[in-house]
Amino acid sequence: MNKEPSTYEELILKKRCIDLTRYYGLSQEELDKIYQFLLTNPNGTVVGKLESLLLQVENQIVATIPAKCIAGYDGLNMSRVLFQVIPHYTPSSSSSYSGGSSSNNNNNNNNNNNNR
Amino acid sequence: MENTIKYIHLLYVPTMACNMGCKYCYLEENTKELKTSHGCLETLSYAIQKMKESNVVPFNISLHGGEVTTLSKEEFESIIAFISDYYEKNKDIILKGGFPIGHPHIKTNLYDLEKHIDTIKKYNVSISGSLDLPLSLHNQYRVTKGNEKTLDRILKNISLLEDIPNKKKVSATIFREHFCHLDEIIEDIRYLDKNTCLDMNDFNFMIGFDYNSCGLLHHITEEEQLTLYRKMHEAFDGTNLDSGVNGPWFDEFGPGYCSNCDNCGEKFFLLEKNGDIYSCVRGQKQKDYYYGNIYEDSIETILKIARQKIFLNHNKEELSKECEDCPYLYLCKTGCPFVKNVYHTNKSYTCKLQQQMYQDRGYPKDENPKEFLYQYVQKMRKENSENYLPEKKEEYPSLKEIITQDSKLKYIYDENSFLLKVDEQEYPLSSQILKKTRDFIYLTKESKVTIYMKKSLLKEECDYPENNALYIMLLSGDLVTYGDENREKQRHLMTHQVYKGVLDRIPSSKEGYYAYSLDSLIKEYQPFLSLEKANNLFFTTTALRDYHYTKQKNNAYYHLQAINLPFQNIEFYYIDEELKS
Repeated sequence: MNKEPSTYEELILKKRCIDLTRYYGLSQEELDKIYQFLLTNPNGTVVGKLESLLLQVENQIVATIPAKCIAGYDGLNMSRVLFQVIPHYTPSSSSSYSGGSSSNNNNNNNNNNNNR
Repeated sequence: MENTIKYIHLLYVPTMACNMGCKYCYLEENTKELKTSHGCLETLSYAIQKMKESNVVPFNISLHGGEVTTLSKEEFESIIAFISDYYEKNKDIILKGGFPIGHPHIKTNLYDLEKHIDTIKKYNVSISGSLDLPLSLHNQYRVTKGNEKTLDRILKNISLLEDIPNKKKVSATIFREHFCHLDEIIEDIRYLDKNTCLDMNDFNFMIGFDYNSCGLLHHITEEEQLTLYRKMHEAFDGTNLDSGVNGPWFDEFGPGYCSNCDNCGEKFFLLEKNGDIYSCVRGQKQKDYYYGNIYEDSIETILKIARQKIFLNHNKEELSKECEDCPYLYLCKTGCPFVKNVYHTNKSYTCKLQQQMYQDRGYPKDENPKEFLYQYVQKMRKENSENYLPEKKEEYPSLKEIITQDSKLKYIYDENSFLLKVDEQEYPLSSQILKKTRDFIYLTKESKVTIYMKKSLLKEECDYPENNALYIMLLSGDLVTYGDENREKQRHLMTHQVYKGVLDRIPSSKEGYYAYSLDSLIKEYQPFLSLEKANNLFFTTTALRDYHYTKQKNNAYYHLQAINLPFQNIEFYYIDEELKS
């Protein structure tokens, strides 16, 4: 990304990648990876989730980058032609998400000291 | 410090060696001792110390095989003593994490238990053994490597556990070959309950997988799982084993287990004597479930790889439509990724059994399954989250309902009326207040921008189309405070109207659409655009705009929900840079 863009398309792509940092904390190395990915994959997409960025080509994940989405947003979708952010959806009060309270490991059967 | 502690469940495999050769062993040919220079206690203590330095604390350390009882008496005792001491020393920190303190725990085939009985008694080790039910099949499938029978010796060893205060339990893996003997299984459970010291309320079933039984055994169908479950309830509900059949026997398929958490890679780890770390016994020796080596990789790297691999494993198949609509997704989370991948399915292999259990055990159906689904997709799925955004429930008629009830409003919000073409890319425009996302484009001085408007739009809500016009508004990303209400809004830069007489005379490359180039407008107003924030272009017609404001006056619910400009729009960043080369 440090290389000067030689086309307006590259200039826009670079700006898109920089704007990505408005929503995700990313290192320069990670940003370079995303820029190169989109530069070399015309159909590539970056799917931003709450805790990661997925680099996909034709719906197949080719790489993941752990990164947390900033407060106020739930994610984004980015490609050479799209930059779409998803504002945070506030669930109704009756709905609260839980990642699960699982403390037991299948096949271990240690539910006599399973720390539930 | 406690706030940053990561608590994990650790299975430790101090030896890969096994004294038995069960026909359906998940480790297949791997039940032989690993060549490693590291001792079994050395690896465990090294791992615990290294984890501690990274604020990772196992709240549970359980021993698994191979077969742990093949260790020498000295090795076995040294590990058990280490774990016992670990729990004692880390009691406070484990309790602060919300986890009770356990005793050392082993999973064993019970065949060589006698050798370690003193250590088991001394440290109050809890035991989870394995048997085949019905017992008549045990000697057929659970044999030594020399194909000798094992049941008599195992039952004898179970009797040695009588004096141990901690619980002792067994589990049984059910294949179709076992399932064919349900009545015999029921009798054998009664036998074990009556004649051994095993706590048969703490017994549990596991479902066998045929992928590692060399074609000898076959997995049971979901219907057969339900039959097993129902038969057990018929036989044991209301008996002294009531709490078992309604609890631990089938708990493995309930929401308290690893297969029902979002990402098991965040919490469950299996460590081998050579330092290799895998997800669990199912993933052991599988590259997609290998997280690294404790001697070679940092804890941070191992944790990162674990989380990534489980995410990827969950996403090898598309999200099941059944799961999308299931009110129990919040409990199930689509099941174990390993089993899904083995069978190339996208839902839990015990789906029907789980649903029956949830009903029987009083778990409520999710009142807002779409909301949970969205959040699940956000965290655990590769699919575009936008497609899963739920509709907000309003107390008064929603904007969509109001639009549906008023045909005149339709075109103000229509998603097919305006298309923006930037260079070779087309963007269908929709109303910014109906959209659940914000879409941005990027323009430079080289960008060619054309708006296409459906020709029929000039006739909508307009008796005299000649008086109607394409209505374009340009707003800067910069905010200003407007009017009596002191409301912050984007600064209005320009309103531009193009009448029918002009539009009719401009050639359009798109059948049924007027075309109008925005290049000169953007160039003229470029000095006033924000270079930091997104600017905004809106499109409608003069007549539709008028109708919007009329509707606002007549309908307070509409006014409330369409207080911001409702017209089809696009947000754009303007890049005021020249290429240097």
